[in-house]
Amino acid sequence: MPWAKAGIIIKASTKPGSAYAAVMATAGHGVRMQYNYTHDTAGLPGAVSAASPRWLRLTRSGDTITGYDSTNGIHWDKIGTVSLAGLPSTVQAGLFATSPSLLLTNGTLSCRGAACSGATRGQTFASNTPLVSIATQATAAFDHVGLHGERAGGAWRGSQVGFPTGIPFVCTPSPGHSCPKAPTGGFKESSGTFTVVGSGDIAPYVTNVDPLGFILKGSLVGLIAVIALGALFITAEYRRGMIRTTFAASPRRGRVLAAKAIVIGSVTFVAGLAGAAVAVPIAEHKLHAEHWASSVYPIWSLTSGHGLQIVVGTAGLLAVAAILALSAGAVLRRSAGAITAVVVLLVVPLILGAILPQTYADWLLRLTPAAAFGLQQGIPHYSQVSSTCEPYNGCYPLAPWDGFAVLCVWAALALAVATYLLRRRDA
Amino acid sequence: MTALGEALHCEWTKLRTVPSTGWLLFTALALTVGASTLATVVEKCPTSCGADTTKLSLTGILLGQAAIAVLAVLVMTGEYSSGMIRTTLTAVPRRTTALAAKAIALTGVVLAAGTFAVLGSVLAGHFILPGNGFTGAHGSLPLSLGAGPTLRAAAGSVLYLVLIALLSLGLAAALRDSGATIAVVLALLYIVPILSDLGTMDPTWEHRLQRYGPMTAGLAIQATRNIGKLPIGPWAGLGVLAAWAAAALLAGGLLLRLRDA
Repeated sequence: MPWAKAGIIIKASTKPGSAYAAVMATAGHGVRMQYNYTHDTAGLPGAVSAASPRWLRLTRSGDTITGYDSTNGIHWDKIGTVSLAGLPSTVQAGLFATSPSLLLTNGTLSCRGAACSGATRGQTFASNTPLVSIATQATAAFDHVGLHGERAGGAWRGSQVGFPTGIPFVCTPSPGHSCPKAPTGGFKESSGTFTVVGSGDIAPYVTNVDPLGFILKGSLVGLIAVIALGALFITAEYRRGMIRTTFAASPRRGRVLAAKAIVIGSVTFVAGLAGAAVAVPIAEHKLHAEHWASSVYPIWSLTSGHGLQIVVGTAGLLAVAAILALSAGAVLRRSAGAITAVVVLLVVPLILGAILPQTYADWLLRLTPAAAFGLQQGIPHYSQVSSTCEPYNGCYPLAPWDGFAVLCVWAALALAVATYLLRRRDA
Repeated sequence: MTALGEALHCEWTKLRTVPSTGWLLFTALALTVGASTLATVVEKCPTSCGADTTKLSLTGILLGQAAIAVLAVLVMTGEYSSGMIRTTLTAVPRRTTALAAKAIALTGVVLAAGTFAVLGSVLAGHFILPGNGFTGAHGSLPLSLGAGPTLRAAAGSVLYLVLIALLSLGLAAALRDSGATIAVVLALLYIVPILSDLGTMDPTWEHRLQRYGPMTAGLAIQATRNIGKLPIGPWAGLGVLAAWAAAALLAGGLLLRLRDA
């Protein structure tokens, strides 16, 4: 498990959801400093082993916690400084080990090799099993453990934090397959070396169902209408011969195309903004009425960061798709061909992404303009949290705005080709 | 010659001599075989031995159908945009005969191109899949049209393309505009499967949409494994698509008769 973690933590209390800051060595992502579940900063890179250990240090001053790492215990590098507002004067501090559950989807139906823990190695699952979650364990050895400052006395105590009453255990049982039992952890000390065994994760709970993101898929219908509108904005002129009048009136063809792009982009952006600003609150009201609303399925106000991302992102997606369709229309000069080309590029990857093996599906959703649909995810996804990442649950391999940038690059390239051809060809 | 025979001759001449026909059939062929080949190349047995190899090697139909839909739409709307439709209906005043002739000519062309596309895809699967670990040891025989289910899937995929063409033609006769028709056809084909992917949120509606969506139902014909677990059986699914195509042709034919051209 690349995000298996072991390290030191300062936490307001052992209750799930309380504020914390931690520095940790991970199995596959080097040393990290994480705090309050969603924040993640990289420290020293490279794998950690008994032969190549890491020194970790956390210092507290008021609400401010600073994390350091080192390869030798002499020269220390600062990873980051975080401020945990309202941290009580007495906090819990200690060592931890976690290992997220292994999630298997249709694409990876047998659990083999290093990704599986000993108990489940070689276990295979029926091909109709939608999603299986298998608990894994991390074991970490700590030495040279030191604590400076006032403490409540006594020796270090080991305990399970979170399980089983805290974070829900992600598992979808199916006929013939029961959910695995919650794993057990452990803690022991011998001559100054502490061995900590743990399961689970210190992370936000990311679900594999994204109801709001799913509802927003309805905007695909609007998207196809917008694509048709964008293409027809120029192909209709070709069909009626109007394009000759247009170019006679305005001989600089690049400027004509730019003007068309600005007009169609602005109109579809405003329409998308209005549509999404109406649709999102209605959808959230319905989800609230059906008891979806919870800490796991938050209700985003339109002015919150994520709410804005959904609404503005949907509008931007429609606007840039319209410009892409306009460019395709200018290149192909035929409505049906242009509309189909853009729909195949933008929408079909979503279907193929669910069929192809994960690696290739990920590349498809990175390289095609469909990457931009990440803007519509109803639940934020974090790269440092292990979860199944599929378009189905609103998760795309690229971060939302990076995915949008991919769509913009496609639109810009198409616009450049269209401008070139418009200048070269007879109208 | 009968009226239908003459109309058929007209339609065949038009379809044969319009440059877009050749291009679109080539695109359909290239997209189908290309995408099918890629899908078989990337699927490896140690991770997904349970895959339905027949369905896998026919993945390209998903893309190829878009070009076929464009061809079918243009057969009708191309005449509306150029005004040719008035000449056609002067020559063949019985409008349902004109539409039937178009449907028959289109069916012939799509049958031929579809057969090549499907044969190319199956052939690619036949040669590529064993190299990816889909061997007898893992319970998958080399893809062969001699096997009943594979033959049904392959022939059914050709019929699927024909029905998609007829559905598009019917809608084109009803809507008369290339842009509008192709947008409606593509939304019907591609958006329904995406919206039906409801998972645990609403299994009832997921089941319904997959049973009655034209693409999801029609593509059931490609399945050769776990047929009992499909939302709809192979031939029943193709029947649903045929009902869609028949309804579209009926609506198109009625509107063609009732309206001015």
